[in-house]
Amino acid sequence: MNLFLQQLINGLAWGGIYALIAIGYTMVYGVMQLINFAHGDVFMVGAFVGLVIAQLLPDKTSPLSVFLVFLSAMFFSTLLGILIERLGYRSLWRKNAPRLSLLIVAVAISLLLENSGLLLFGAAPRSFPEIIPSKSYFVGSIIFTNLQLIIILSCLLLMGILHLIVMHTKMGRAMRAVAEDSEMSALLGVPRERVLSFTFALGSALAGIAGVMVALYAPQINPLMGLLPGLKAFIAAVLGGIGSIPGAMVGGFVLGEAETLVSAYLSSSYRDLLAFLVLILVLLLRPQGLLGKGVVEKL
Amino acid sequence: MEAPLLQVENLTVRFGGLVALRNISFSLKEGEFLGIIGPNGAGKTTLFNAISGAVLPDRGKILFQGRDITSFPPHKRARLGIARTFQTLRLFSRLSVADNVKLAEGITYPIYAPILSLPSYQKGERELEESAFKLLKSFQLERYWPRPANALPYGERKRLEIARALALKPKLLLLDEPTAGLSHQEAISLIEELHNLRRKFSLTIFLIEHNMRIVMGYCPRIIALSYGEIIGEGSPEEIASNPAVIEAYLGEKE
Amino acid sequence: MNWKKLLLLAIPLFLWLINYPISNPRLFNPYALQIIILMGVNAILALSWDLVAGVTGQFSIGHAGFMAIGAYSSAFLTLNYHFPFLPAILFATLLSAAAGFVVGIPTLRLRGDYLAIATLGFGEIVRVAILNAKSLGAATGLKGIPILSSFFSVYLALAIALWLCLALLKSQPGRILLAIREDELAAQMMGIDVVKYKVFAFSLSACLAGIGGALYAHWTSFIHPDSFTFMKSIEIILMGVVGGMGTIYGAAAGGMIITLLPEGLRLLLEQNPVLSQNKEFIRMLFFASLLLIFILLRPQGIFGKKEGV
Repeated sequence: MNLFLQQLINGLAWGGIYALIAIGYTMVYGVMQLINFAHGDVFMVGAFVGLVIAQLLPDKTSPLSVFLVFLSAMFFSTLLGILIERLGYRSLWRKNAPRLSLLIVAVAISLLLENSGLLLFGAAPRSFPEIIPSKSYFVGSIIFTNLQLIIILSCLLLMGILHLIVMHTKMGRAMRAVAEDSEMSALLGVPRERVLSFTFALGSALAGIAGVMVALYAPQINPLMGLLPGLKAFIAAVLGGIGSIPGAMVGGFVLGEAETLVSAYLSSSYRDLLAFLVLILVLLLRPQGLLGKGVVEKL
Repeated sequence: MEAPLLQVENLTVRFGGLVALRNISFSLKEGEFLGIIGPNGAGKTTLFNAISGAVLPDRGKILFQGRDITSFPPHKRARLGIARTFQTLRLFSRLSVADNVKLAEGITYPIYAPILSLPSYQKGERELEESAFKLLKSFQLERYWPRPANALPYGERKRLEIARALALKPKLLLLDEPTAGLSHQEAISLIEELHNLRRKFSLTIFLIEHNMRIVMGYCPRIIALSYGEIIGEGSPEEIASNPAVIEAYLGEKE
Repeated sequence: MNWKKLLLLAIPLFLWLINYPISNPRLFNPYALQIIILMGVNAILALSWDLVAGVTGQFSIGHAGFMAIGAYSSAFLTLNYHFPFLPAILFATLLSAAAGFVVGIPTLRLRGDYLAIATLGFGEIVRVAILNAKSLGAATGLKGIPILSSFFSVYLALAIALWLCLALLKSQPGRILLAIREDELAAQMMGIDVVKYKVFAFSLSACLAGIGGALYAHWTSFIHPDSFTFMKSIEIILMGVVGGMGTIYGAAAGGMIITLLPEGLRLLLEQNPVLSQNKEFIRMLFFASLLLIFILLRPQGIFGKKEGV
């Protein structure tokens, strides 16, 4: 029982991280029905920006440094997200190009980012400085670390902020309108292109933060680190119901927990397979996901 | 008495909370030319989608030639003899005019026959070619034969879509606003062409039409739909004097 | 017997005749032969992808998986049971077709990008499964596969694949696949069993990819799960896109071009020690940029016609 609880706690941190990345996938899918394959790499860039900044700072462990590391990761990944949307997707989106083309662009951008990273930083993993000194707490026989606590709490906090933005700001309303019915929202004067930019910015900011979190938690990073967590976060988004923000959060936590439990009770080599099996099962049995709505094709 | 060709019983279609069709019941006899009118959003296209299988109803039944087809997939309904056109053209735009028609004619040889160049394949393709040509010729579209469908003028594309639907050799033809976007003159000649086609191919036609003059002038029987319900049914005169129909249309500008 | 059929018979004869001099290292540069063979293999792979993506409009990013199934199953038979090449290839083809069939089934429910992810998942599952299969060499790969591929077998397979795709495209099933690409719903309304044809396209495409894999395995004589990663799938996509999606000859040519180009690049890079250290990354960067340039600026590929509206 204790082992089980321990694993649940370990899974929560990964779940939160998946959820943060999954939100980016799901929001972009909502507004432009695109799987933004490059999203996982934005997360990687976030981690590397964090690394560079952390190495530049003299006093790595001061609260100010931690804040600066997160802020800069967020800033640069946001910038990158906006750039990707502007240079990669927008012209095709305007032309109403086939979705296949958009997907290919997504894959190409992902490759560009990964291989630029490999060229700049090499393939060998780099260890991330311990900017938050690790502390462990015991509750009975269950251990958890301050890092796990920080990750889970800040994930919840960020999701709360996101909820406020989406439900209660003008831009959030516009986002929901575009997701509901893109053409209609354009007729009603919603500035769709600005909504797209905003959506990419928001999703990328979260991915950037998630990148630093993983870097702290892992604590190693490499230019291909975005690939697998990116795919898994996407799977989490599908599991929760693509296009649904609460769905992405639920999917993220469910997948994180499931993975941790599988590697604890079966074998860690099944861990990576699990996500893909989940994906195929969801697609076959409940393609709208846990919280998604059924899709009606327009005629 | 003969069973009706199409019978719709208590059909209800919902989209989320919105009821697009509520308890629709009507039937179509073989050889009829039935028109359906109603303000925008009344559920006319949804009704077509339900009959052709693009949308599954939440409740109710659809019978075609006495057979319950409510749960049939679209392609099976098409093969049984329900063909349709679309409000916004849905031709296979990069394929040639000939291919658009040939496609709908079905396949008479096994799927691997072309790879082995079997005689059944060659015979099958010859037949497809001949019947497609004949059909296009009856629409005077044969001169566009090798052109991609999207290279045709708008009016011709509309007629090509009807020709494509006829390539299915349907018993029932569902036409979703065939005259939209055409001039009055073109619209009249298209409707007259449809009347001839109906006789020639012994078709039953079910037509969504916005142009009141055309509906009233050419459809012996009309159904009026409003907010997903049938509010009137009968001859043009009966429809014109039906208070519910008049009220539904008074709200509109027509 | 008309001249067309005679010509068809002449192609294998011609390939067989030049097979001998071209395979003789004293008469023909082995490095050039290596590239020519890989060009043929990649042309088959590009055709295979084009059939699903370019013709039928279903995006697959898991073609390396089909290739891996073809490569491993045929190599397993020739290596362990000394199967002759042809039966081994036939078995590999059938097995990949079965895999294509299984991947095609989810198309019952999936559309577009969901399908893409499912194929990606499929490719990964195949790779991870091989990595864990001891009888398939697991992480050490399969070594010492007999070299049974030749210029003759590769280019004969390519000729057959081309013939197959061209014949298909002129026929009713081919038209139907194109119609599914253009407008799936309208195709259904025209009486087409869309699911059946998508599964057909996937199976046939997997067949070709399997043949490509088998030929590849019996040329390089060594295969490893790393030869069939996601990146390989991307490379196959690039070939199809550069050649022109939906163009049969174009796709095959795209396969050849994408094999040849990086070779030139490699020769350039190897002059410089720093660059040559990173040549794999540079190659992928080059591929990615090419993919972007084509999709954004020339989506119809080199050989595709511009869409006239």
